[in-house]
Amino acid sequence: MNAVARYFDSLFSVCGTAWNRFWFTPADPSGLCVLRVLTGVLALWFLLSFVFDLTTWFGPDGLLPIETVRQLTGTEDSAWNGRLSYLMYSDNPTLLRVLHGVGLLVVAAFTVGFATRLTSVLTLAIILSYIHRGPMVSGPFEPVLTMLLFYLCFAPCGASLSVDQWLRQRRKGDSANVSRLAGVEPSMAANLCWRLIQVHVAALYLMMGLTKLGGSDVWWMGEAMWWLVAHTESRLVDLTFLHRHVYVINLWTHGVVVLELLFGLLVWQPLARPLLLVLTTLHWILIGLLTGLLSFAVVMLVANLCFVSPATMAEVIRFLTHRSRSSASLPSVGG
Amino acid sequence: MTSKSPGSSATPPATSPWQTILSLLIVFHLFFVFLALGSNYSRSSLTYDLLNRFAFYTRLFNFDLDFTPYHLTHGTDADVDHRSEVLAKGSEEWIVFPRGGFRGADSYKRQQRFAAMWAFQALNGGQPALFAQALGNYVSRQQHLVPQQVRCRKHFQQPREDVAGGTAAQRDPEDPSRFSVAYTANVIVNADASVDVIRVEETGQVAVPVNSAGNARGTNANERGR
Repeated sequence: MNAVARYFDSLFSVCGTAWNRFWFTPADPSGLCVLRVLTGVLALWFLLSFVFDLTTWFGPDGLLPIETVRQLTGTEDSAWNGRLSYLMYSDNPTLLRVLHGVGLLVVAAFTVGFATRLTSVLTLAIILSYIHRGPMVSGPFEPVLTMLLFYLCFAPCGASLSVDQWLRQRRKGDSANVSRLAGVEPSMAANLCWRLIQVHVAALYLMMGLTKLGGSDVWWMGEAMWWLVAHTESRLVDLTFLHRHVYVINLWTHGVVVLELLFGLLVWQPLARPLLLVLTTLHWILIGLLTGLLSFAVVMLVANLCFVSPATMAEVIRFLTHRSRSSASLPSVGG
Repeated sequence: MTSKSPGSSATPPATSPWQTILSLLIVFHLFFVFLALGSNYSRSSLTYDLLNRFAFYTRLFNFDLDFTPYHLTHGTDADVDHRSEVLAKGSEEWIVFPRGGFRGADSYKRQQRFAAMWAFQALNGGQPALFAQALGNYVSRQQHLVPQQVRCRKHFQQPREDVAGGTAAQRDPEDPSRFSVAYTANVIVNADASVDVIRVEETGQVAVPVNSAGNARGTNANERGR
């Protein structure tokens, strides 16, 4: 019994230490700041996609009237099923446009990092409102976008590359020499949010790989990519010439499943990570062109950045800003 | 290029009560994230009930993927292209939604998903009349056309063997044999500009007209998670 107790004591001790190190080690928030900018751009893209379609979908004579959505989601008797949207309270076209304009301003403010703590939460609420207003027309892009926005609400993503940082530096009287990545302190919150995004993205890849293997045998038989190639009304490129190259179709199909499963499992290995990131970049570019799901492909590329270390991102940004401001000298980034 | 922890240079701090609380919150959160991801394709009674009971968290923040097809395709009838179509009075050509444009645009994709959901409702005992009525109403009031009929059609892909060595019709992706109607309804525009739809059933059957109150009610959409 003593041996068993010692075993479990040792197990819990090792696991506890690893858990604390994984979640609570302070980290550089620079990567989250980059993620904020890119996610904000995607959120703006999402809202802009409604600019010409606002009344088409949500107007009084639109394709998704409020009553229809309530009936389809089973909330016609005021029962709440977890969906919340300020767009469900009015279908007045003018009000919709005003709310849409305000939403665009808020998301733009979040993107440039103004009042980030507030605008991050508001941005999430705005995007969720549009999704919950018309859940039957949302696709694979929206859940990934809201996932990133959710975690950024808790992250110090306005620490750099932001108007907030510029204002802070200006208050300190040091705006002339401000580096876009200067004065960024490591924080536990940054690491926590970064890790949550990583775990969520890895789990998403695993889910995508596993669901491909269920339902039917097209992924097992190596035929699935042909069924995507043959979507005449969705594809952006015509690859039907591949009908002559069965092995290419088979290899591509098997490769997609293997890549998605391996990504979720092996991305935690530093040696495997660069290769997996390159392969998945190629994968999402091809999927986007094949299925027309461009937004989904782009958001997955952005989400993949959570596996690129902030130090690397900081180096890239420093390189780019040094080239664009050839006469300026940039202070180095801490961490 | 990569590192075990994101850019960290400090040693891990000692465990504090805050870390314990945060750890519990992390476990709670990840449990529901994994539950939602694992239930996207199919759900047991347990996972269905859990997700419904905690919908204030899973659905509110959109963690519940709601059967979104992340598998991209299973080669089934549900995975084909869908389109909504309207036949205006006095016209012989059907107006197709999405109406052209860039296929990669979200607006285009939304039109396709609308049609796909319409077809799903029609073929699974749901409420397809709501979609038909919405489309008829939209075309009548926003597009200023008088709709005569609305329909939802599936556009099936060609098997690889057909493209490789089939007949001329089999090699043509736009051949009429590649299309299947999931739902058709006649549209009645009333004097007060409201729209009723009457489903076109098989020969010999008559469907009850559906008015703006939505008389024809089938399976609740929540059973599919939407």
